[in-house]
Amino acid sequence: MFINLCIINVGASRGNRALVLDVFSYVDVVFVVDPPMDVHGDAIDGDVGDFVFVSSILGCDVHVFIRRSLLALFELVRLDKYGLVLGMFSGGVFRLIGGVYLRPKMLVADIQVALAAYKDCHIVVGDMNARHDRWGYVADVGGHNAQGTAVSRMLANMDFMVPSVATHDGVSVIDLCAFRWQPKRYRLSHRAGLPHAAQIIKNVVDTDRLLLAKPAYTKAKWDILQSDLEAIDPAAPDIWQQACTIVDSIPRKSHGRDRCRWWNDDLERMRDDTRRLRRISIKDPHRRQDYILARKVYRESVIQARYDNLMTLLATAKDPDIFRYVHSLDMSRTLPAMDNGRTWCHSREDISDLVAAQLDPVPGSPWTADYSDIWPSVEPHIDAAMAMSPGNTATSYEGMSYPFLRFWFRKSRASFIGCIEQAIRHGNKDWHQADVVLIRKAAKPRYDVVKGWHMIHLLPVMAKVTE
Amino acid sequence: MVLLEVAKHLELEDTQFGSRRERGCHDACAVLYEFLKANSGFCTALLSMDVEGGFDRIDMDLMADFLVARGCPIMFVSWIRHWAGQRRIRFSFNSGLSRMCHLSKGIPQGSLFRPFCSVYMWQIYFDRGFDIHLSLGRLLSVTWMTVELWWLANLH
Repeated sequence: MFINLCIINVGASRGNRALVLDVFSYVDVVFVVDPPMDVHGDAIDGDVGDFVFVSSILGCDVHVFIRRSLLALFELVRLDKYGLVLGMFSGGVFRLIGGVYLRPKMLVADIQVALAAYKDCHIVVGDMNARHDRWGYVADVGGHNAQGTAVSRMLANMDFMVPSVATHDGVSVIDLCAFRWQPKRYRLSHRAGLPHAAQIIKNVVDTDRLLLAKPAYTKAKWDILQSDLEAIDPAAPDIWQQACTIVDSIPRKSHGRDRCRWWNDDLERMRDDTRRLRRISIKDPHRRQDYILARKVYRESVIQARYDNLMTLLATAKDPDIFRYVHSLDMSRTLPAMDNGRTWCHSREDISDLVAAQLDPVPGSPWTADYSDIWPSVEPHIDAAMAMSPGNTATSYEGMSYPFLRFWFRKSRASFIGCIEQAIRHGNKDWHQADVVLIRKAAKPRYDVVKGWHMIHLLPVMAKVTE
Repeated sequence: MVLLEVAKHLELEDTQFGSRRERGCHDACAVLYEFLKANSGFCTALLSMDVEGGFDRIDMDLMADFLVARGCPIMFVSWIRHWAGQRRIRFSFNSGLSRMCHLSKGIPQGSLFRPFCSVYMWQIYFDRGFDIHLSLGRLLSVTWMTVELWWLANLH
């Protein structure tokens, strides 16, 4: 689909900003340069209509507003005090658009630092206060100012092109648009009645490729797996190690990898349902209304999920280090800084030590297996134990699942029983290890103390079957 | 499988409900109601006890003593002690793993032994044949308890 981006300097005026958002009704994304801010450098709320304010750090000189219904198409890549970078898919390629504001009379070193952050962008827009005859500055004396020279060199080094169109009072190009990827259309608009012209960029935006791509996993080759399991010698002393090697060779669903944080299983199911309905509607036109409705609900859900995610993340931090926090945030499964009664623990090591202190840890000691070798055979109970095993649960560090265990039991019963009997009679060091996940206890007044969290041990599933 | 083998040698009473198959909260309420109905006319009190982190700190020596006292074969007692010992855990939070931590006490949350031990330990604590004062004293030395006493004058 085509979208319009608008970049305009509003001169720190709240009224000008409201005017721009109102006048440019056909615009979908607005980069507001030199935005209105309070004395602390914080953004000022105002009438933004159907737009959503998605950038928020103290003192940032560019604010970006995105139309609410299109929020899912964009990604806020990074922010700094000079501006921000917005990402979007266009023509199957992830494109970066940087919005930057260079205040007048900046030092050359600062300009170099500011522009270097945008070297990976495909388009850089904003107000750079850079006057240079290279992009059409008309002056009585000389053809450029110091800022113009510095910006010109930086843009040339980064291989950007600059269109020469007057954007300020018809004589000067200070609101630059530099690009190395030609937009569909670039033009200026003076409709807002401001000294600065509004730069309008029209371009194509696609849905995120991850939403359209097939699941990034391949099915396990069960016949090969079966032959591997059958090849295990039931009398071998290292059955467990052999089984772990086989499990490691199974291809895994890339759940969570390369996915954005707001994508969840519900959306995945909705997407699959929508696709299934689409296939059905092609064969049966009477079901087309079902498909249209499902598609509408799915799209709305994607937009809402992304919107909620952005709002939550941005509402919690107004700090130049916002993206450090964003990467560590994961909603309800995220541990905040923990209170140990005297001070706050922020680092992973400190928090894990604090949680472990609840379990009375001891120094590590060498593994000693002192099991009894006269344990009765497990043969009479094995069928009942496997029948009572659950459908599936989270795997532990070894990656073995209940379905895999049942497959192993069906295809190679002897080696399966041999592995369990070895562990019962001689012990298995790996079965004494667990990963512990922390889950919030319900309705606790505080979650920054360890007692607000459940500690769930993810044990190897084979050890649980043995139990 | 180990539990099935051990359960052959131990018996759980009919008044034990928690963590047992086909014995839900409603069954416990029904038994409680029947008990109150049979004892109508007496003053009634309900004792509610919550052990905080009790199973994270179970002393396996103490647990083994209890199992032996209930007639559990030594072989199984020894096996359970080894099974629960030499535990290593890593904490998984905020998209990462912590370093390894070694434990000497407690039964892992998620182990099938845990609900079994909870049922069995409470049964032992309140068994008539056991020295209730001694066992509660030892229990309190390793855990913290929250005790609530409710007078149920007109429950029935």
